Amino acid sequence: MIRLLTANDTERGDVLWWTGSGWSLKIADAVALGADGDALFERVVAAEEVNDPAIIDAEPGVPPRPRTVRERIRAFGPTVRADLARPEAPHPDLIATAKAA
Amino acid sequence: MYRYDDYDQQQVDARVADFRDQVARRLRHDLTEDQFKPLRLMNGLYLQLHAYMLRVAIPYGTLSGTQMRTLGHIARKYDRGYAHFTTRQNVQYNWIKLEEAPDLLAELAAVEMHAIQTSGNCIRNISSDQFAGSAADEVGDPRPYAELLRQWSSFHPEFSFLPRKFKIAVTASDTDRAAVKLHDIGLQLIRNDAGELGFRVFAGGGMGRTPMIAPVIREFVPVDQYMSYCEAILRVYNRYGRRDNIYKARIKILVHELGAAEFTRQVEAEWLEVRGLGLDAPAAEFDRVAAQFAPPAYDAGAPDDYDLSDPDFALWVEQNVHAHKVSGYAIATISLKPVGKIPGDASAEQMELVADLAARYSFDEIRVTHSQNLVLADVRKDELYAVWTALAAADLATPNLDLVSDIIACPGLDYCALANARSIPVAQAIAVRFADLDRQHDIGELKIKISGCINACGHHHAGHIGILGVDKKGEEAYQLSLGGSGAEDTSLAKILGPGFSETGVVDAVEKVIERYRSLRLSPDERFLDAYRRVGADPFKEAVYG
Repeated sequence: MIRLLTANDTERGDVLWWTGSGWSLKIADAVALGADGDALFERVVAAEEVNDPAIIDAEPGVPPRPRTVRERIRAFGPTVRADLARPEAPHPDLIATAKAA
Repeated sequence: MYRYDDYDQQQVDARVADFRDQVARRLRHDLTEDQFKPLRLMNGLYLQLHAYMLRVAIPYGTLSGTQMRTLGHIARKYDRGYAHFTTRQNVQYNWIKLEEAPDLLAELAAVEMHAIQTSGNCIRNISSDQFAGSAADEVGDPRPYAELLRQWSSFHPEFSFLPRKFKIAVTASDTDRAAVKLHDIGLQLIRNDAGELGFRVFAGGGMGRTPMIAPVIREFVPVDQYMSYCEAILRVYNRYGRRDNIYKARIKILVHELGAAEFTRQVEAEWLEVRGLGLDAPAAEFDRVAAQFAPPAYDAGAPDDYDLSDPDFALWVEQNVHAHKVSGYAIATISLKPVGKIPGDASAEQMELVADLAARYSFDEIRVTHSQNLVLADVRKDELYAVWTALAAADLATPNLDLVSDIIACPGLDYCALANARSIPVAQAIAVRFADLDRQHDIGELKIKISGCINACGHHHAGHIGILGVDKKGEEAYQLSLGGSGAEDTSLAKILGPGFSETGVVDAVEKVIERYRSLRLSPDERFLDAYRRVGADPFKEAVYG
């Protein structure tokens, strides 16, 4: 498992992923947090430039696969409207099914 | 329907201006999120999984055609072309940008709508019977009373920071279409032995983590005193409701812990103190409000007979059309549950079509139901075919009201930040499994209700078959419950046994339904009645072996 830093954009509410130097809408751009991950998280919380920052677990890959269904849906969008899913989203069944990565 | 006076409009316009300033300060980072969050929630703006979500109030589920057309316009301009009608007769937009929210609210205000008090620990949208004013079985029109409650509860300074949110439903029929016993306060308009109108008052009901059926705390409150009685209930709750534990903060816990008799005693004592303070609306004010709900100009010559030779139309009439109190008219329910689609969702184009149909055929008025459908409440019977034809062309004429595919489902984990599991795909899979309309009609009335978490926005406790999504170590699982009802025979569903996967719960629902078909006394015995007769064991055996 790797750890990723995520948040929501203040202006639009979009899901954001920490890239090492800023934020991206694509989980594929996310970087695994290193030993300084918790300190980075504390700095992001204190800076208050994004909403609801959180560290989540994910399986490494391109894109990384968040451990929980909740975070997979956050990363890839609703599973019930293909037109509303993120362009990089896998099939909805792959978002929801634990062993199908 | 009620139209804003200058005071109503000034309040809503002022709130838009306030919020515009607050948003600007947030976008400049002059306000932190901790400072801003309670302000946006007071205006119905949540941050969900993917974006901001705006919940717009639809008082007692009543909309004008102009308002519905504006909701469609907003879906297209500010969202992604659709909206979601909720189990509290509200409407939600899932993809709102904070920077555009003030303009959106200004457009709502221009048609006498807002999102105020659709969140927070205050009195929420007043809900009611979607057939109000038209129902053949009502003793009076509940809408003027609901409107006065809306005015009383809006910006009520004493009740803006209650221990927890507070929901009131008003109805006027013995047939309960508003789930009054599952609300914090339920008001049923009745006539006493002297023929006088008053309310039977229920208090302390609700779903969520700890479902409770509200007891009657007063059999009859005269209609000219019901507001002070509600004030007394709220004052007792506000004083003694638990603020130390969010899970015990709803009024249902207070009523349960005190006992209905002691709670009633305290309310009655409080009422003695407040009833003389002029809290009830003066007769002239009631008359002013009631006049705005005067019956429309029904055509006394409207024929009662109409052509049912088209079998698809006849099927829709049989399932989705109800009796109207005026001869020659009918109440038509528009299903937002086409098989395989998302329960409660409507596209901008569908909303605009419904607005057009309301303007042409139903005195420019639409109702939203707590089961996530829409209603045209005043349609001439000889124009039903034209209405059905237009609805069918827009995928809005599924003849499945109260059948197995008419499923209530919350947004669930596809959208909601609180959810543990998805609701919508389960609803879709069940509807597809039972897509055959002949099979649905053979099964008869069967209300499936699905919630994605214990908060129970999908009313699973009140489902004939209830499904609750839960989290199992980061994956979805589903609990099956049987025997609930949100109608006049209110009951709480009981968990059948161990949970299931997403596909497993669909299979389990099918096994339950097939067992019902095999054991019912006749096709007229509803699933709920059969369950109450035989208990859970035959269904456990069918599902678990």
